[in-house]
Amino acid sequence: MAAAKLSSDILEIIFSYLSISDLRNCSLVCKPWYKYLNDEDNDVWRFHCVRKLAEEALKSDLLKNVPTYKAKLRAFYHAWNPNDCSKNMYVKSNGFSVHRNPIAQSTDGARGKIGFRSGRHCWEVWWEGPLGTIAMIGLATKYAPLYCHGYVGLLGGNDQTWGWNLVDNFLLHNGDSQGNYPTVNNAPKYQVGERIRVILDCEDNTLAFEKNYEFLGVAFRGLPDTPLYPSVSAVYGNTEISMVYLGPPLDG
Amino acid sequence: MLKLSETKKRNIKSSEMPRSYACDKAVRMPMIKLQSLEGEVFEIDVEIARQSVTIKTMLEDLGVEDDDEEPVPLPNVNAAILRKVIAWCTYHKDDPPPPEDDENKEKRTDDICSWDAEFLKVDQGTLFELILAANYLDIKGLLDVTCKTVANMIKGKSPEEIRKTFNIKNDFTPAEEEQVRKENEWCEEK
Repeated sequence: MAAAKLSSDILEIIFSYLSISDLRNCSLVCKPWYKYLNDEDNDVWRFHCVRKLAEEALKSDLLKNVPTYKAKLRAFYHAWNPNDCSKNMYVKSNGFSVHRNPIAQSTDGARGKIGFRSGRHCWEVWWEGPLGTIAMIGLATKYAPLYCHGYVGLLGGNDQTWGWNLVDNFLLHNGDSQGNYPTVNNAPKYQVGERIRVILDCEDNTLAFEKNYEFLGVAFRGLPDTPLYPSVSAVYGNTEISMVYLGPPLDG
Repeated sequence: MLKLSETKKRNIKSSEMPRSYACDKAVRMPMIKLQSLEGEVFEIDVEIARQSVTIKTMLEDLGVEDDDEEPVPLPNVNAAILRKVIAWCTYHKDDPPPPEDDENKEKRTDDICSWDAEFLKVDQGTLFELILAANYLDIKGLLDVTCKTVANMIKGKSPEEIRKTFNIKNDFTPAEEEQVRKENEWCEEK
């Protein structure tokens, strides 16, 4: 009984000794503990955030759209997986950007650390360097290959991937073009640095995109009930792509 | 302080004099009196008491002198707990001051010394009262070790196991619990 009534000063000290997995269990114990852990900027979250994230990521504006310590930590847990990308790519020391090496005749992709099967999820992706001729953004299952020879639409080129080519504004899945997107005439071309929001709805099985806070429409429907991972594929040498997980979409 | 010559003037028998006057002040340790919630008075060495930042501050700010007859009231601490706190502070009186927490280091819980581990083999009620007393008296070392002990009782347990350990009622509805579980699913990943 006394445990449920501890002040936040004391909860802070006790929780500061626990792992993130233990903290998750604590937030399910009772409402007072949940309330303390729901303060996403408290010292317990700050401590874990500072220890796990690269200082350069915390100091730059990379994470500007995930303002709280807990949200930044969550973004890091969903970031590009350094062990799950093409051999011609590596995740930079900031933890959130992937770099494609200048290898000729190669298309390379990367996957996020966590795949989604339920709920609604939103993340932002942007190119930090040139797109080249093919720059795909979308989803991949765990089984999708992240490398192939030549310069192709890797993301969308098979039934395990769904991609939007930011260069020619075409959607691709299973190797078939799904039409242009967004469906407006003269859609503006992608500018390097522009953050695109990807919105995955696992209940509706749809994928949509947003640019400059403008919803561009549903791009893919009928997504399968299997874990789907944030993914990109690229062809341009030395280009870099950043991805930051935001959480559930804020509904208008 | 009464000088011996004065006692003669006042016709006080030396055997009736308080013991503290019986020896030279220079070798006597300065003492302070602490009074628990119930009014019980404990006399302890000032240096031991100063491990409590609360008491240390009172001594400095309020100019409470050692040898004052007036005990320092601690209405938030009962006698049984105060006795235990004094025992802990006495054992730890020569400890170096605790280091500032290093943000870059993982906080360990496997470094509780065996004396403290034995000392903290108490019922939960006492453990939490010690936490509250250490917090009120601002004794960092005791607060850290008691909180570490609670943290060790939480580690690796499911929410239901934690509730059972501490006799906490589940005040979530099933829907609320499901939502919190989903929100924090990512915390399970390595």
